[in-house]
Amino acid sequence: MRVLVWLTEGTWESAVDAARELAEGRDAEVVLLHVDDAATADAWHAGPAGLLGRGGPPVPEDPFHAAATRLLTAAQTRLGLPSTTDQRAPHGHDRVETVVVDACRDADVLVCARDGDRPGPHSLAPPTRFVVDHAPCDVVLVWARG
Amino acid sequence: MHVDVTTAAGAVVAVVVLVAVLVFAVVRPRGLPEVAGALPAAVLVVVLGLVPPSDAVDEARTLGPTVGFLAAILVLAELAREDGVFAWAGGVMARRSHGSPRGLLTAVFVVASLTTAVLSLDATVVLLTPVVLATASRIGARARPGVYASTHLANTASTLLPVSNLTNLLAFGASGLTFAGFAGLMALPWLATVAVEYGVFRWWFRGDLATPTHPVPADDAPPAPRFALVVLAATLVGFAVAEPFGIAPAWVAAAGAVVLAAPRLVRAPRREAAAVVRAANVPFLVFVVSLGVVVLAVRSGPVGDGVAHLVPDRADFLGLLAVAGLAAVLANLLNNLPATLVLVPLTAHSPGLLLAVLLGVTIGPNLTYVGSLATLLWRQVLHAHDHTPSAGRFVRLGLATVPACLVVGVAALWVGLQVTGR
Repeated sequence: MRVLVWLTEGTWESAVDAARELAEGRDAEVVLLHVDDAATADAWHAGPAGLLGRGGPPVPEDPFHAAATRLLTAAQTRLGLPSTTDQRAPHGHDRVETVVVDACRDADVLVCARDGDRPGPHSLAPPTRFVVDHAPCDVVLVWARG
Repeated sequence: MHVDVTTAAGAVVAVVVLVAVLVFAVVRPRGLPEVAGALPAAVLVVVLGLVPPSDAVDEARTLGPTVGFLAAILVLAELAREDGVFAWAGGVMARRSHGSPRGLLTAVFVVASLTTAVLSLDATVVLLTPVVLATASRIGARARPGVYASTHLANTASTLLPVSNLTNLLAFGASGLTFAGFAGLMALPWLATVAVEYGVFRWWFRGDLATPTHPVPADDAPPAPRFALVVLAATLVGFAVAEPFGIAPAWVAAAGAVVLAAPRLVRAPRREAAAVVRAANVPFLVFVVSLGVVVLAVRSGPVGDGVAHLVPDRADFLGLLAVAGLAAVLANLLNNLPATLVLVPLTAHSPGLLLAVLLGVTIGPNLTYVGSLATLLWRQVLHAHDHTPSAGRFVRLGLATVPACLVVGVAALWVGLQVTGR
């Protein structure tokens, strides 16, 4: 069984804990997935670009990829089971959610967490709702807990 | 070769030179500083006869005090960073958030608005945004709302004081207002627009803000840098207090920078003096003066006359709204620096119209960040670095905030003008 665990900032711990319960004691291959958030990178680049004439670097270094690598390492430690990581960045006009759905193609189960911790439609942000609606495999959706 | 600035040919040449300066500043061929394009362009418009040498010298002389003021503020912000003011602010934001993403957004709004107002938008973009990112990561919150808030507030919250934005500095000298008078009229628009922005952000990022609260790690919160905070507060008070005695705010800012730099200069005079000069960003200062001369060529011809016809005569509510809208459009077409340089002389006779221009050129850029022309080029630059920004993402959030902020900001300014009888 191939278990894909989609990790997002703020809720990844719950997804990892659920994946451990699912995979422990079974013949499961666990893949931890993180997709860089292009929207945050856009804002990061836009600020300095707006400062015309200041002589800053044309493209400031993007800290998000390195932060995601640290998150994946922390997730592997928390999982405590053999796992691999899959770190992706949207290219061109790809969105985070379409990249996740694409990554689901080889998976038997996708584990992901809701964004909010209160019942109701707002507990699923639009990208998560898209993934839940479009994932071609089974989906284990867990509550995010602080 | 002599080109008459009042003819259509003169206007075309002036606009082409201005656009070339902006293109160069965004693309930065071979990593050259922006001034490497702007200074030769300023010389070119003088050589071509578009700007008489005496007018160019006058323009440089007029911009001189503004540029000096700007240098002092840049140094002040960098020294504040070195003293740990921004790291301390990160600790405050983390504590005040109590680990809640919504609490963090509120804390970012307060800190980014104050940072922008006191130390200018450059400080918020360059020095505070990385701290916001680190703070979000520290409390397990998503970075997106905070990073966008920091970027937006660098513009929206830069209306309060003459020192908050280079555009304000450029207008302040021409406004005839005192430092306290400027701040008094802009306080209500500043509060109102930041509040509108906050409301939109709470709704726009509701998905990211709904993630659970995480405990705030109690580790390594940096102590308050008391000396730097006291010097910054004293400088701020000094702006208003010293002015009635004929001491220009630029001198107060310079004094603040000297006091903050003094302990370092005593420790390692050479190294620290070099660091202060670097922080003052001399190439940027020359860029601003050069841009002023190039814009003078545009302003003196038919383009300037055309824009002048669009500027309303009266500072009533509709007049204020119209001129703020015009300023926002120009800021988005080109960039807010040239837009300010064009519009300030045309509105200098009326403090109300001038402040409405400032609302337009500071809030307007949240729609396209760098001006649409530059945005197109900038996207190409980023694309070459394997990152394609989505213009739609900026513009959608910009459309949700900019028109509302402009209308509310202008209404608040109008109320202030009525109350003070200006």
